[in-house]
Order: sequence, then structure tokens, then C-alpha cells
Amino acid sequence: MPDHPAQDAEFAIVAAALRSTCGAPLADLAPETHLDELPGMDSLRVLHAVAAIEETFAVEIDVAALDRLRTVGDIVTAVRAARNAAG
Amino acid sequence: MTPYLLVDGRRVAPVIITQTQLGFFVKFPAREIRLISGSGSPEDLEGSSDRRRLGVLLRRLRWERDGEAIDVPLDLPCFIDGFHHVEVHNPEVGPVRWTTGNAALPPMTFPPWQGMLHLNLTLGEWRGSGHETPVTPEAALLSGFESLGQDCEFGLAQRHYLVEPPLTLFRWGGAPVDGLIQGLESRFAGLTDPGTTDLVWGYGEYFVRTPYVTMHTHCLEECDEAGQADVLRAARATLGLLRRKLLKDIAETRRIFVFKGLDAECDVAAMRRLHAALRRIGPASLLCVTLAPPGQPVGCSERIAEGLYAGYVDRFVMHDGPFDQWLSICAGTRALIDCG
Repeated sequence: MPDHPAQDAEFAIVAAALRSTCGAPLADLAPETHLDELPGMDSLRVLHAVAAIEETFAVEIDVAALDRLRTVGDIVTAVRAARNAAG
Repeated sequence: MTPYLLVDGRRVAPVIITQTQLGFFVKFPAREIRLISGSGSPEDLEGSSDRRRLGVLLRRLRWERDGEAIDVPLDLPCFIDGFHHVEVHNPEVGPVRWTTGNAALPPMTFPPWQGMLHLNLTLGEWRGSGHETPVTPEAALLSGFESLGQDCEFGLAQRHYLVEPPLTLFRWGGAPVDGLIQGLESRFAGLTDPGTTDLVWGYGEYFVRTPYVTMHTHCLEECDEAGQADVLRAARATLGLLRRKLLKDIAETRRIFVFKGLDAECDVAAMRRLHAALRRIGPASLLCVTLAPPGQPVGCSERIAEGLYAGYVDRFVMHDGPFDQWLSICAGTRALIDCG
């Protein structure tokens, strides 16, 4: 689990976007949760969630990472990198 | 390995595993369901003369919902992609079929129900396949290519060889050659503008229509105005993400781009214009695949210009291939590029 307030906030926003995209509470969501295990999730919906997260944080993630997103934690990592890059 | 399903590209593991049964939950509507397993050749494993690549022996395919069941006859002729010919080992049991390890359940055998359904597969006594499906040379080859449209047939060919198509604009979108050229020349300017994108309903799904490309949304249920606005908002944001990804892939020459020229308009002149539009963004290579003109060998590719190649198939069939021709064209193109 995240151990830093900023990481906590990133995870919370990513989780909220995934819940909204899936339309499900996803009570057991964790960084290691695989995206293809989420109900109703497919690769296009993952991108819907990523796009929503970008809008929330007002950042652009490195699109090269898109093909490597496997877990919730992968999205959090990509968002964190984008926020760090944006300063 | 334990067999699993790929449902529209998403891996679905069995929830029931016995010596002869595999049970899966599958959510409908679904477009493509593949049964993936390890595979091997009896010739390799047992020294038999049977040289076929065999995955699992399918004895029964049953869809179930709320106490109802539909048994799909395995002797239907539509079992083509990834299935061997029907066999009758025991007349009392009925026809059976071997898969190749990567078999597409024919869409015409899908049940007329929606929602979460149960798929029960009865297999020949199954002890787990001896070999993991390897990362094959075919998969390694096709991973180096990326579709530019005109539709998703090349993506299906990649899936057939267990390659997950790259996440990019033309994984879910399509455009005729002129629209694609205009998009590349303008770097898809205005792709996400509210004034030029809208939502259309067709074929049981909402599509987002833009000046250059029409894209799936995966929203399969008609919704009210507020719901449509949500779908459109999500689609526009995603289009922006995919536009950046496509332009980066082109600029960095990460893959060889493949355009399926569905229309007669995709002649050599159009291929050259498309290639020129790509080259304004980056040093990308382009393979245009069209129907073979009379006398042209199929499954072959040829060099049109530096970085521009043409390949030929004898038919466009979408779900049933001809995947072997696509593979052969890509192998030929790779060889041409490697030879300089």
C-alpha cells in the first residue's frame, strides 16, 4: 500500500477513476491488482481511466508506458512520473 | 498450462477445473472468444506419424444461463480458425474436435443471451498440456508491426498469433486512405474538438466520429442524452491520448506501420501519398496490403520505394483470416527492410 501522503492521493485518484470506469465499488483494489481482473475492464476502458486521471492531475503521462500498464500500481507509477516531470 | 479464454482480448481464467471439465464466466455481448492452451505435436511427443499441432480435444461446448443450456454441435462447418477437422472417435459420444492451441469459437455459435453466462467445455481427459504456448517466432515477428487501419483485420491477425495489438489510435479506429492522409498531414488537428466530433449508434454500439477517424467506444447499450454526453467526453479524452501515442510511435519508428487498403482508391499513388504523410512525422516504414491484382502472387510483399512496401492477399475476411497470408507478407517485408 502507499506509504506517503502524495502517493496515497495518487492511488486514491487512480482508484476512483477505475471505479468510475468499471461502475463498480472495487473494494479490494490494491496496487498489485491486475487491470484485466477488474469487472468489465478492457484495454479501451483502461485508456478511458488513464485519460480521466490525466485531466484530474493536469498532466500528460508518457504514452510509451501505455503498452506496459498491467496493474493498478503501474498506472500510479506512470502518473507519479508525469507529475515529477511536470515539477 | 491451464487453458484460458481471450474474450475480446481480455484473459479469462476458468472457474471450474476438473479432469475433463473447464468452466468459464463470459460476459456478453462479446465479439471474439478464443480458447488458448498449450499445444504439441504427437509426432514430437510420442513418435507417432500425426504431425498436427494439437491443443485440447473438445468433446462438448455448452452455454448455460439460469438453468437453461445450449449445446453447440461440434460438427458445424464454421469451426475453422484454430480447429482441426471434426472427428468421431466413439459414435455414442458424438463428434469431437482438436484445437491447435489457439482457437476462435465461431461467433455464429454464440448464444442469443446477454449478460454474464457460463461456458462449460468438456475436454478429452485433460491432464494439463505439456508445453506452455511459446513466444513463437510468428509472435515475435508480428510484434514489430502496428495497424494504421483501414479496419481491425491486421489486429485480428496479430491476435491469432497471440500478439496483443499496440494501444494506439487505429486499434479501435478506422479511416479510409484519404482521411488517414489528411489526419497525418495535420497531425490530427481538431481530433477531439467538440464541434467536429459526435456520437453515432450503429451495429449495436456507439462510435465516436471525427473528421479523420471513426472509433469504437465499447458502449454497447443505448443511453439517454446525459449518458451519451459522458460517453462522448470519455471518448474525446481517450482520442487525445491515442493521438499522442500514434504520433510518438511514428516519430520514434518503433514499428512498421500496416495499412489495409480496402478500397480501389488505395493504388500505388495513394500509397506514396500516405507514406509521404508518415515521413513528415518520422522515418517510419509503411506496408500497404491490398487485394492481389490478377497474376500477382498472394502472401508476398514488394518494395515500392525506400520505406514503402506493398503486400497482397487474395481476400479480406476479417474474423477468419487469411492470417497465413498476413504473416507471410509481414515476414517478407521484414526481410526486405533488413536487407536494406
